[in-house]
Amino acid sequence: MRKRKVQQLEAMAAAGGRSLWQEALRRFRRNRMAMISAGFLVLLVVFAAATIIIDAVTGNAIYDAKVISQDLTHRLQPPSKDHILGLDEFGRDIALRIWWGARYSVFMGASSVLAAIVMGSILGAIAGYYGGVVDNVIMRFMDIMLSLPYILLAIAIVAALGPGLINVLIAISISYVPEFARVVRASVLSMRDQEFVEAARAVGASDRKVIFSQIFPNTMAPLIVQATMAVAGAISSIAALSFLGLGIQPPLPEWGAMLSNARTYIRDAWHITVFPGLMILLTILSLNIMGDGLRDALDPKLKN
Amino acid sequence: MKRVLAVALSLFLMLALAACGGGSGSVAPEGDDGTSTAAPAGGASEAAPAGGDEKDTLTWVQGADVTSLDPHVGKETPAVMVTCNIFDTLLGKDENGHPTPCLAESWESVDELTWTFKLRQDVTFHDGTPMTSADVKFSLERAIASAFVSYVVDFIDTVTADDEYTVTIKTKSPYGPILANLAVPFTAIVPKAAVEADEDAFVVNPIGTGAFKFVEWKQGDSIKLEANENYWGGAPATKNLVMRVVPEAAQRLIALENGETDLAYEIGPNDLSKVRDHANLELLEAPSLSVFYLTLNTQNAPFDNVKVRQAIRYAIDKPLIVDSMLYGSGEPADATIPPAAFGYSARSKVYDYNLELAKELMEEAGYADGFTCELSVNDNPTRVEICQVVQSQLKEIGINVEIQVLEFGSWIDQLGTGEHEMSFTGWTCSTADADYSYYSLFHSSQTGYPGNDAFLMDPKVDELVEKGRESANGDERQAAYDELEEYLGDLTPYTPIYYSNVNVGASSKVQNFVVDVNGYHRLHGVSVAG
Repeated sequence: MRKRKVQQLEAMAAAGGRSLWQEALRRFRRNRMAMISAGFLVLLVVFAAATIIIDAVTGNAIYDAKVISQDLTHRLQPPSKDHILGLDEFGRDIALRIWWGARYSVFMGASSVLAAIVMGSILGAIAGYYGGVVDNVIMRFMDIMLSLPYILLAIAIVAALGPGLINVLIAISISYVPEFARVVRASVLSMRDQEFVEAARAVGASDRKVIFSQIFPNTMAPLIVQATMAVAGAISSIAALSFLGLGIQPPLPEWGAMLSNARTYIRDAWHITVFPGLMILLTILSLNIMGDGLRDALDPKLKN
Repeated sequence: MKRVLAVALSLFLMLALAACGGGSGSVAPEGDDGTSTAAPAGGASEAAPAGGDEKDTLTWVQGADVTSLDPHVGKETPAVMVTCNIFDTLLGKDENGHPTPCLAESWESVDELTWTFKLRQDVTFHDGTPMTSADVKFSLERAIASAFVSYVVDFIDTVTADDEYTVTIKTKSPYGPILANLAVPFTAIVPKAAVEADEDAFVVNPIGTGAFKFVEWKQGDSIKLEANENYWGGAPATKNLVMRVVPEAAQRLIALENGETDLAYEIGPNDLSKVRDHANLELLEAPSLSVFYLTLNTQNAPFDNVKVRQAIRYAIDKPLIVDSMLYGSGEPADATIPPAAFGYSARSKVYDYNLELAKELMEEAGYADGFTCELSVNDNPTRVEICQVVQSQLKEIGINVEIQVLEFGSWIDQLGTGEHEMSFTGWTCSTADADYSYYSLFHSSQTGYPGNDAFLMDPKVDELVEKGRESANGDERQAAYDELEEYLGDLTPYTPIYYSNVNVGASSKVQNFVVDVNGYHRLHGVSVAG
């Protein structure tokens, strides 16, 4: 199936004088919602990166003075001209905290998924390429992991390792490994016996070379789609773990933790729960819409 | 044809679902009654036509579950909130804190070491056996042997049963607060025969002499009690009690507003005004005998350093915490003894918020660059919030605090075994006599579970604590406590932050509820209008 599709796409690309990737990009651009989402995400990444640079340059001066320092006499102040999103339960500026907190969602979400991709791809490629007993051992183990809900698995891992930034990262990446192992294995299986792979083998390429330079590049499309969706899931897992008190610890301005701390005051001060919640929602929604757009662009046959 | 079939099938499905819903709805209440009373049908029909005045079940919600139903083990307030309704003590306390008869109907001091107590002769345990002097002797000796509550009764040298209803207690030395101590719920009288027969069964299925009998404990969720119709103080006003654990203060209030519960213990500070302003709710509030403080494990660096402990006291802005986080419901504390207790000393060293001094002390202690430590706390949102304020205030003097939120039971274990570095905790001076707090929190024999979780071991403190408890003379005792408080001023193993108020939110249908300053609310006379 995939073989036919690749040929078809190549034919289409050749006809328009564009490569496969250029063609996909063109299709993606035509999807307005996906473009808006992508724009939002790019902005988010830029803003998150900006805080890291600001902190590095100022030696955490702004972070210490504005983001985590408390002003208990002005707690729970509603949005105003000076503080557009208001002040939280400790009198800290919510807008600044959301801005500074973006890094946890954005970079932790992305890096945990990246780690999961690396681990999952290696396992999936080995399983798919060698087949037989190796395949069975790896994939049955992955099946066991898949049978547990992500968040439950992540909670179990964090409970074992203890809360904290790195442990949350580890927990989330481990819980996403099976998903990627599956996707990569499926692609590898469909490509293992194709001519170009056989050709590579025939000229004496090692297994590793065949997997990484011949097969792997052809699995990228489904992997990218899967990754976008997984980042959305990972971000919500980070927020959920922090909400449960297992993730990022106070006073770090993680969105889920902000939401969790604010819940006591949900009836007194709407603004301290609404804005962090809204940011989580927008980020995940954008990732999902962009993921859908990418899938449509990279895999046009799936669209209908 | 297919379409018709589809519609018919979906209609059928809807009907089936509706039937299921109705079925489970009508089954549930029966199940509830069945588990709470021996004769469900009789109980329900009896209550309904009896005028429909009063509900036969009173529900209350509290923030944490019972730690143990054994009164000689579970001394934490959430446990006593339940067990004080199952068990009785020799003496009670009136609203002024004076001793009143309870299981003992009279008592006298023979000499300064000897007291005799005459017991009531009409008291039976929930299993039907009569309560006698043998049970009292057994119970007090059991409490003395308990690592958890020994401090309340270890002034006792011997307990003798003179006859079936007379008990003589000999103390090791003259002991001023004896009567107050025998009114503390963890000196409860338990049935000798039942405990000796099977102690493990007793712990999960407690038998007392109290107004309510134990029915069921779903751990982490709820406890059910039922009225002891043969109670020596008269049958309770309400037939069934249900305690539900609701950790979040905001949810306790919501449960109260929705009528899911009749009483909500420990309303969150930010919700107090909502209860006060609510037409159908009442807020019952009183200054408590509880103090909240940071306990510093003085066995390990850096808290073995007196200067670090002093720096921490200067670095914490107590009035700000009380005004903002507690909405003024409480008082900043300079000591661990509540001002209402006997033996409270005005000579406590006052540490007013002073960052400069705190920083200097940190420098002198050799921690100019600060250090990192863990601050543990149980999963109570208000307490976690106060810890975040403490975290922010200690950051000012370079202490990088990591907050560790623990479930109540594991938090108690952490303090009991000394695995903590710093912890935010509280202590209730249950007897309203300073000895209760000084002995448990400061004496070297009481480290860990009994209360001294600063693990302070100081011979001079021990000496003064003993001096204060081993005299029946009020002036002598006060002099010892004044000296002790002066000595503790610089030693400062604890960092008192505030004296709390005890509060209960009640539906206005609740009648005769009396707030206990210790939080041990007794529900014998309480009823709920239907």
